[in-house]
Amino acid sequence: MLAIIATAGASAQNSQVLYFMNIPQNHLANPAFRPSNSVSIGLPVISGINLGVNNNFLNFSDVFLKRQSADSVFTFLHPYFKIGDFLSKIKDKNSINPQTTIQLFSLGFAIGQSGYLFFDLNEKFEANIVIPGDLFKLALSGNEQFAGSKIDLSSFRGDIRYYHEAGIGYSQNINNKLRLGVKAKVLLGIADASIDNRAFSIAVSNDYVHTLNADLRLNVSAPVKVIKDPDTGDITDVQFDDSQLKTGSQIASYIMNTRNLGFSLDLGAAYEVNDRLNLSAAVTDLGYIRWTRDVTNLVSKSSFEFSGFDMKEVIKGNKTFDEVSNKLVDSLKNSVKATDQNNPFTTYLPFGVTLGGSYSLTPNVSLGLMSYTRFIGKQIREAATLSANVNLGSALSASLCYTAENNRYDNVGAGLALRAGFFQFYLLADKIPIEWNKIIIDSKSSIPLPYDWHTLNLRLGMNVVFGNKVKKAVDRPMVDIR
Amino acid sequence: MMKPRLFLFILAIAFIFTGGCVKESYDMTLLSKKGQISPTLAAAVAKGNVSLSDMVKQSDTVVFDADHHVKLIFKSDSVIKRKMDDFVDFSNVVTFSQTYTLGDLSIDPFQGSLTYTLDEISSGTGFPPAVRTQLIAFDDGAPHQCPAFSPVTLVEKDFIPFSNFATASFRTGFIDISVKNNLPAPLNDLSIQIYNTADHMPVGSAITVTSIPVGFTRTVAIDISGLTFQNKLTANIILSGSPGNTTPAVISMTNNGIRVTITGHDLKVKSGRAVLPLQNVSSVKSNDTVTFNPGHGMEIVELKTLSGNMEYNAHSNCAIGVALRIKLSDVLQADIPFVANLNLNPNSSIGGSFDISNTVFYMGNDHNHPYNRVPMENILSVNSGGALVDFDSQNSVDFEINIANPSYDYVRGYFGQLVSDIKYDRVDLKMKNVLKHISGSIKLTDPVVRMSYNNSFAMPILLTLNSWGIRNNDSLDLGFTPVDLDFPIAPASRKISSSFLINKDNSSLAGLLSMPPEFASYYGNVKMNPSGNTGLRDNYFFGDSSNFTASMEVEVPLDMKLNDFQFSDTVKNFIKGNLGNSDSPVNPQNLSTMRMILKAKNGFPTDASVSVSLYDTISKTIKSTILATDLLKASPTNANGKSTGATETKTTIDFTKEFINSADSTDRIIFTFTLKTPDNGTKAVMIYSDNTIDFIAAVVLKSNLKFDFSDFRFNTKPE
Repeated sequence: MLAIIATAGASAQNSQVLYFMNIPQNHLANPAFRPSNSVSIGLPVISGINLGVNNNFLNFSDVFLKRQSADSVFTFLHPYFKIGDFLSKIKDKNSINPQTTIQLFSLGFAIGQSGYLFFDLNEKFEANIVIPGDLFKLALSGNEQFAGSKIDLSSFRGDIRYYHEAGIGYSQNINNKLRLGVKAKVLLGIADASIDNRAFSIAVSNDYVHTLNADLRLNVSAPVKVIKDPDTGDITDVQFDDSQLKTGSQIASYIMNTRNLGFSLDLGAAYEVNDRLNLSAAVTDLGYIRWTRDVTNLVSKSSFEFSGFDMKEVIKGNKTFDEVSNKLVDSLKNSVKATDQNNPFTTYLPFGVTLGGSYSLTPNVSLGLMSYTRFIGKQIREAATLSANVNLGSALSASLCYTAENNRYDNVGAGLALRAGFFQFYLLADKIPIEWNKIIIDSKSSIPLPYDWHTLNLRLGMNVVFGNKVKKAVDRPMVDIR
Repeated sequence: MMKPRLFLFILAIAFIFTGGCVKESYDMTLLSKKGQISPTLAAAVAKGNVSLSDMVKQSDTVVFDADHHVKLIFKSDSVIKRKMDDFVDFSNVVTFSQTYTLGDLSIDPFQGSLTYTLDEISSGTGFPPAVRTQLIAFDDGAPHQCPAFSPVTLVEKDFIPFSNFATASFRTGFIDISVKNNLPAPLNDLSIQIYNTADHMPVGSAITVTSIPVGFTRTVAIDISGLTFQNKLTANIILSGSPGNTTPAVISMTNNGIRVTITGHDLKVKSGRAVLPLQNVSSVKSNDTVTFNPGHGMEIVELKTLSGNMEYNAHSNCAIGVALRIKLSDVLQADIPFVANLNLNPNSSIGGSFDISNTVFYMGNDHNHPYNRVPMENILSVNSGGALVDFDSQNSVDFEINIANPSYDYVRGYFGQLVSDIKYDRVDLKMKNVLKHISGSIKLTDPVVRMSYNNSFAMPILLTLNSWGIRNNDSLDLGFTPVDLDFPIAPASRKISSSFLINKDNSSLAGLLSMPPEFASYYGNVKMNPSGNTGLRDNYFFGDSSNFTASMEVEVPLDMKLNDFQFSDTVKNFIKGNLGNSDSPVNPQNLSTMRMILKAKNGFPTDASVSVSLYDTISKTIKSTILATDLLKASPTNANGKSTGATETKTTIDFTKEFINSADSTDRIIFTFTLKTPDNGTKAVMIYSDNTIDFIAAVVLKSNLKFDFSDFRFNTKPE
């Protein structure tokens, strides 16, 4: 289980707001959900672009600062500022998760009384980088502070991947209260680089003896070549090999490869407790990708203790100081030597567990409460959302959410979907940037940037929808489980 | 319907994205490119578990005992070397020269006879003719009464020449004249006068032979001492007559008569020409003495040679050959007394040598003078071999012997109070450079000088050694009491190896070495028989092998008291230029603070402190000093001063900014190490090779690294 967690990849987080929206994309949050439309078609790119960046430690104002009574801008490294102020904002585990999903195509249509079949094709780019807080402290304040303890780098991780996702799902009412859904996805990996951190720490004793313990593996599925010293066989460099990507056809062939095959599964359920209260649960992105093409594994297992140069042999006159130091350097090099292998590897998608419930105040207005727990390797991220939702059939679906996540309690998000004829436009944002920074680039231009960078998740697109069931404005449950 | 929904959608979008306010403006054109980080870096840089045996290798000078106690040992072979030649010169100690005068020599007795018949007697002057006639008549074979006759002088007759001499001057001697009366009648007194035939000079006085009965022989001796005569003698005999004989006897004119015999005897001649029979020259003393002259006050009673020759020379001015026999009864070769025989031809010289290898000379048998003397028995003999030779009692034989330079097996006796000086010398101990660097007090508790010697002089020897140490204007006398050296008890033992110590009990050695001295001066002597002549005469020299050699070993156990004992050394500033470029975190310009933390478990029984000073040779000033007192604390010790454990210390040495800045500009570093033993330097401690220091040193430094984003490089330009 831990191995599975350890090799889990970047998150493919869906918007919290999406969960309560009546749009075809809601099955991404729970495969038991279906829109009120009979048919929905998603056109390439237009139907959905999801952009998200989450980081739990930095804002623009943490990096760039201003002094009072001055227009000058300073970095946090400027001598005027205390580095401790910056470090106080650093967490033990500092993560950055950029992600992009571009829907190439989607199709959903109702089958029978309650069944709904859906199919989609997505391009996904994900990254998850976790930087241990001790690494920042080490770089900026040095190692002296760690005397008697340990520089914990065990949370250091990095995953980045690019893959195709083709999914087919089906949901249906089991009875008049329970609706189940399942979505199976075939994953075709294009490129991946992931760090498998099994152990990484530096213990520092009170005598400043440093003990490095590292068991790291970098798995890469990409056109790279490992450069080795012809004499020693040591790895000296890793370079990108663009020989397979020189022409358009080569690039197309590379992108369309099917050798890195994976599979994931979404499971969902929705239960109508009564005509006002609905409960739902889902497990999403339970899956893996097996990387077999252009695989390079760089393995480094190190256990090295540096307690200073042993002067005994120097004092005895058996060795010179240079010999002792060279030996120590050689020991360190041999200790941290990396080996390369070409073994296929498997990455596991971070899966999410969603528990939700909604209470209908009126047929069109409901309140929702959702818990989304994402398991990303050793990380567990929890988000709790409280929402107020308005669903006027397929004509209008709006949701206003308050989400507590990333140790932030100021995430106010909203979603809005409007149907105009056969076209349904939607825009979702888990956090509406209320406050902005104005970044003056030059004398003529400036760009606005959200003040808060912790959560940026934007989904927008346009669906072509048919067969909207709601003819008149009646209260509809948010989720139609029939 | 579509348009209002679209409008609402766009409005909603606009509301969402434009509803936020501008919290802050950042004019990035005014972005300061400067940055600085000040990490505090710490690392253990050195460690070790080092014992003294790791730092100092055991060698001939630094010695580790079986219990790991450390000693410094300095050895010098043959610091004193003496041999027999340094005390005595036994060459040419024996010279003997003697002249042997022949003196009076003996010759064999001589004898001659004359016979006067009755006829001749009766024919002599004064013999009555009538009586003659009568006698003639009575010569008929019948007995007749022999008539008396009156004195008659006989005709002089010559004796037959004596063969054993030609002429001789007699020192002593006698001629016995015997007259036998073969006459038929007794003779009255008769007188005989002997004459040297050649010149008819009388030999001695005439003698009277009293009456001689018939048939009797009367002898009268003539003392010829002082007489000189030849070997031809004539007798002149005067008979005083005969009373006749009334007893008839046959009278024969030819058969009756007198016989005169002369016999020379007990003849010693002083010169002349004679046949000298084999005889020892009596004038030569049979007992002589060969005297040894070994030197003033030396009394030799015995010696044995290993090799050598006794050279001799003999010269004879004798007209006769001589033989000289030498016997040295107390000179034994294979237990046989030495005897030598020399034969000299007349008027000749001979020379040569006698081999006296493996010869023992006993020189103490003279009760009156029981040393330096060897009796010699000499016999000088002559023998003319039956030939007549000329000689003179003043003839002599010169004889000399010389024993030049033999090699001796041993010499025994009393050799006097021989003294060999140890000449004054002043030795530079090559400590000047070391002494320049040290100060404070060091007290060595138990140094020892061991003088080991081999002595084959079998006699009491007293060694006197005066020595003192010098440092600057101070000197300290060693104060060593003269020592009697062991010597072999000869003859059973010929060599002895022994030693004596110079230590704190009999000298001020500890104080002297603790100066420590820059120079050492010394002089002295080796005196034999310091108590003088005890009369025992039992000193032995064993020839060329007699020698005395002494080696010196100075043993300094590292047992000491140290009170602020400092050692300083100035070295080139190795820090300068090695602190990296301006981007280096250890470059002084980038360093804010630096400290070194030394954690040590000290197994040495001394406190240690160190100071590091940066010295500028141009301005001749010390720019900055780092002082680390109590860098190490002395380990616990037992009553003997031996370490029984380890004392843990943790010392932090702060390198000030001033020091860091000066480190890259000064050219010399002065290290000063200060050691102190427990109880404020009053307790003596013992150093062992397994004393250990277990240490770990860490460096903590805080750098101020300034950089500039504009060109992504570090620089140290101040703002």
